[in-house]
Amino acid sequence: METNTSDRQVIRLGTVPFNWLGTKSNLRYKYANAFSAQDIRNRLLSSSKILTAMEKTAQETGQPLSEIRTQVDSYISEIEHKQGGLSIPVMLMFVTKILSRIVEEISYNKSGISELKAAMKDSPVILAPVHRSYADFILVSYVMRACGIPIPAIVAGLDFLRMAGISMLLRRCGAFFMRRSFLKADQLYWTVFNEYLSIILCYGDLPIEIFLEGTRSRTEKALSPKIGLLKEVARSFFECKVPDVKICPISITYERVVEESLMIRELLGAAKPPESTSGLLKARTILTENFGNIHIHFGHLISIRDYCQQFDIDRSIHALRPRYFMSDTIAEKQCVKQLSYYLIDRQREKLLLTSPSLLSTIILQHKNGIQFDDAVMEMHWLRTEINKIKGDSALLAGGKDDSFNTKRALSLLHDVLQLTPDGLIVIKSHYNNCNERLENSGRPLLIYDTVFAAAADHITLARHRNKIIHLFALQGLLAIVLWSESKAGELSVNLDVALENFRWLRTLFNDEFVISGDNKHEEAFYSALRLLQESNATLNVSSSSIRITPEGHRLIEFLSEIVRPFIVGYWIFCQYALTNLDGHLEFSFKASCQGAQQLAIEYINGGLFNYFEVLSLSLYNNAVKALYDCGVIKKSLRNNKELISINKMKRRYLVSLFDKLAEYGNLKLHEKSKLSVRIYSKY
Amino acid sequence: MDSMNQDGNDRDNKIYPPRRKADAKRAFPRRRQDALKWNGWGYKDSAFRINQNDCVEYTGDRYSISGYEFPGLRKWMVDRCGLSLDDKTFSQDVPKDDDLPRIILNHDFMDELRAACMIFSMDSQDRLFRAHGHTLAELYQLRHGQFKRIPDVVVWPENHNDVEKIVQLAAKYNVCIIPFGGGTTVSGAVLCPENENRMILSLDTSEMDRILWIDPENFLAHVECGIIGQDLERQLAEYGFCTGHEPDSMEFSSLGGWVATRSSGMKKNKYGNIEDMLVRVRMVTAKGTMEKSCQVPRMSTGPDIHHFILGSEGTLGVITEVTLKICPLPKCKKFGSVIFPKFEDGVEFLKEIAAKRMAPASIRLMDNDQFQFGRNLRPPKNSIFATLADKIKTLYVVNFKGFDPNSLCLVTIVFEASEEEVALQQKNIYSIASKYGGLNAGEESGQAGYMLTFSIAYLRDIGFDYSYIAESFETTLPWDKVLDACRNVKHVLHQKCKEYGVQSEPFATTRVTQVYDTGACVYFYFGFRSVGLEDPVKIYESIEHSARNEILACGGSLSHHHGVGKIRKHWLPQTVSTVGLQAVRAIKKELDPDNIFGCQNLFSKL
Repeated sequence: METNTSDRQVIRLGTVPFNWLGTKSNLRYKYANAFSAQDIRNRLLSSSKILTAMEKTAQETGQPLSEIRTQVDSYISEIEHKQGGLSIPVMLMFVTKILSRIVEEISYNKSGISELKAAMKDSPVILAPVHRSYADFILVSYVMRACGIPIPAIVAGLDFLRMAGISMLLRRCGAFFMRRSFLKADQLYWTVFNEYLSIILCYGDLPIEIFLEGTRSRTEKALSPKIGLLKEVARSFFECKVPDVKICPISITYERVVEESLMIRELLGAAKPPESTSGLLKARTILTENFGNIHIHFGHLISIRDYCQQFDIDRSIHALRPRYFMSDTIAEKQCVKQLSYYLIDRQREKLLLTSPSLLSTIILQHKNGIQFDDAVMEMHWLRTEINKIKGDSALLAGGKDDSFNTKRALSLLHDVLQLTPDGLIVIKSHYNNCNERLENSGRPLLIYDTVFAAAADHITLARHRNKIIHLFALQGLLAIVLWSESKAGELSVNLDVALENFRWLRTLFNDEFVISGDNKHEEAFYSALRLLQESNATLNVSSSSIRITPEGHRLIEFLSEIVRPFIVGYWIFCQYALTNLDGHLEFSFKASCQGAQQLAIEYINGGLFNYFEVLSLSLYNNAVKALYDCGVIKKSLRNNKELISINKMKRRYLVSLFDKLAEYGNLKLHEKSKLSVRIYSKY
Repeated sequence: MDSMNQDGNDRDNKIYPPRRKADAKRAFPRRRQDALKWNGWGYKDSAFRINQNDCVEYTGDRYSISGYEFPGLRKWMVDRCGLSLDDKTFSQDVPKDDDLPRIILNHDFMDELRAACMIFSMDSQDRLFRAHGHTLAELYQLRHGQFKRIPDVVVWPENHNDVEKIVQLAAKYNVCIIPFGGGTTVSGAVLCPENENRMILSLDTSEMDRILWIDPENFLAHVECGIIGQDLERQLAEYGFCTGHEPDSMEFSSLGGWVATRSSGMKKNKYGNIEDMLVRVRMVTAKGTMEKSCQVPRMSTGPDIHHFILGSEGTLGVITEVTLKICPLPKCKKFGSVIFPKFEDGVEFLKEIAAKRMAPASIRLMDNDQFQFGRNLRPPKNSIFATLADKIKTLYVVNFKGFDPNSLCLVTIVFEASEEEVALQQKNIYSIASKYGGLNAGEESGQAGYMLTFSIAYLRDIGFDYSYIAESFETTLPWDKVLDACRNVKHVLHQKCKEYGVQSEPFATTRVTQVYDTGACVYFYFGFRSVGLEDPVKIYESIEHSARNEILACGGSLSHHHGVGKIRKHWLPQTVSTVGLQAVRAIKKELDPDNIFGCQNLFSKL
């Protein structure tokens, strides 16, 4: 086990390491030769890729070249980082002062840092942390500085630029900025941005930090990786501009994320508060909260050179064309895609368990409350199950004593959970709704308010559960297939039937659970089967059929229940699509998601199910994407607005999906599920 | 040509030289092992060794550095290359006759050979000497191992007709012929294939070493293939001419070998590569002699037959006579050198020199390691003033010009032309150099740089004595990939050494050794301490394999001038496409259906 005590190094917050103001670290790539922002700018302005793109733009738009050059100049000013000066120490001091008030302990693994240090001279290094909070990049930078490693240049979204003052501070700390739009019209911009990235990678002296997921995950699940930046990084290797690139996956485990409440509001549909300075100041109330422990794990470095070996990549073809003539081969694209999933897996693998995530998983399966002592036993059972899958169930700020773990979880989840006098752990909103109505609201209580209040609590718990959902996703999908096809364990399931159903389910939920970058369904099926079998022989597998053993019921039910809310969510969206996006009907992406959410509220009020977490808009976002990927939903442009509707050619497939999801979501037998409800969206 | 006219009396016998005089000076005798090392590079009397003062010295009196001690070299080899003086390993003794593979005899063939009055030998030392070239693996085999197959007979034809006769007989009796020139190949080209069960005849061309005629009017010399580089240049110089072809091996390599491998000389900027100076060639194949009917600068007569003789590496026939373009000896020959703060600056400088077509006879760029290597190979200055001047120069460069002694690199130059032309070249070169931050570092540094390239093979032998194995390999690259390849290949070399458990940091250094309009030839020296490795040669070969893969990935060629031989066959299909290779095989099949020239270079047995 790597996260043993000897490898774990606790950072003493509030103290200022003496090397903070020290000189620049000499740990840098040995072929670096562009050190200042000016060096980088000079290289950019003489890059053949940019010069060619400028000429192309001039030809297409008829603008004079000088104007385009000014444009490029302003792009560079918008992008570039200007790391240096006192900004970093000041920023870190300020941030750690705050952290020291709200966080109990921050730690990292020493072995990861030494591996990183050993590799930094030989090739450029990419840091790839999970993205769960704005604190991610601050924490990484903090640890790097404390260990005497240069602070990385960090890719940041352009929305930070709206924060007056902060953006300059971030630039000085090493942030460089990327736009989020991917319109064709911005080709010149993207050429400049990609070349900037490539130059600071190949010739710069700093490691580069990128977030594969593109944005903070609001759900605590991993997001499916965005491969744009990684592609540019890999391209530098494919074009032989660097001997290798080493990528360090970084897993940051929070017991609680600082932005938790904002994210839940966002998931429920309250618009994302724009990143403005004042918004940040308003967040001051968090200073009184306890956010528990944080652990930062620096994973084993992944060498792009080594990783590419398994693909049929011939780098020499790039030498047959001029440098500016960019093209990626199919093998290269495939390689980068799989690498991105591989990195996400490496990140997730080293996340530590937290007691809130274990307890949340349990509570979500006991929505009406569970006795404290039972919860302790469930905790123990769950840890044992995880141990079988992972072989390592290190618990952040916890240990073998599950009673202690449960108590810690309760205290960190005190906003959501409550221990009643008779020893029952309950979800606060349920409990309050049953006992006393919300009293101090000035207006008449709307049904939506109570639903949203419950949903907020459920989503909080779901977020915690989602931290470990990747451990169960694949088996969960298989479990739900087996459970339903066997009529709750009564019959045995034909192997081909199981495989076929697993196949479409996995395809549908690939992005939701970030399963993999390839289409090896059969392999995945058998590995899920193996995982299930290893967990206490819950299955009898013969050459043609699978039967759930009576001892296996508990685990299969548990796994099905983990996945079922997602099944229900997707079912709701199918329902919404069939009734609201069919015929001539079409709505915008956003309106559709909100419409589906409305539909979900109707169903909950009707008592069809009690998965309050299906109010989360992220489910519907993912559902639209998944349905779009399998061709069921098409996009069209009307008055410059993107609208979605059903692809009539695939309507029958959608209906079959709808039926199958209803079956797997235990909804089929309910009369209400057959009602066709039309939501007239107000948007 | 002036010299020719002045010397009118001797003109006739000089232009049409008689058969080689008995007392004519030759690079080495027919029994080469009498003058040359049997298990190492070059002359027996010339070697680096560590003397009783614990200092590296160079023995003999043949070279300008002979007889000197090099005080800094030992320390440098220990500190930088990771060589340890405790690792002394000795070569085995010259193998006894019984230890060598048994002769496979073709009696009928031998009878006819005797009847034809050919000079031949079945002496074991003669055979062993012709069983190998000079790759690391071959020398290691000589020092510590055994060859499974060596030539069964060595034959010395004396002229083109002799060669025709030998080839006819071999074809008649199915004997395998491997032509042997200087034996300096570094591609395994003269190794006897272990799967060859016929009698193997090593056709040694060294008796065919006459300049048959010189034609000053058309600037041509007609020369037999076996002449050794240094003999050719020395004899031509007597007539006021030179070919200007100077590969690093020119002391020992032969004209025929140059043609057969597509050799390249250091002064190619002025004189061209071998294909540029080759006007006519005669090659004896199993089907007869292939040659052109005229000797003209250029012709448009379909695919040029010279182009598959050049680089045929002994697979198609024996090159017997070559008509070469010759040049009047240059009036003025000077060395020069420039230092640059960084390797990148040096490359930019070379690129501009090439683009402006201003390259002097030779211009090379050494990286920092090679620069330091060269510095340590200078004999100590005997005057106090010279040492002092050196120190002051170093101080100036490092302290006032801000050069980092650990990153600066050196460009070495050979100027060859008329006095005025050289002066002009110097002026141009140094002014472009200053644009890239270069400083004129004087003639002596330049000369030392070239000294390194000829002594490197001798230096490798002292490495062997201390369990240090080293080799060089080369490639051509487009300009924009030069830096990428140098960097990436070094990375691969270091990484692989780590993987294979090489105990100390390897020595990997690079040099841009030739410039062209569209690219450059890059040379790598690579060595490491082999102590503790079970099979160092195998490890070396595997590392070079990875390095070659990296070179190819960076857009480099399989070889610029070393050739393919046996050790680079693996990549030939991908290099010239399978269809291309099929075409080459088709030529082989037509010219040599019975595989008389069975060296199995370029591709394996048909």
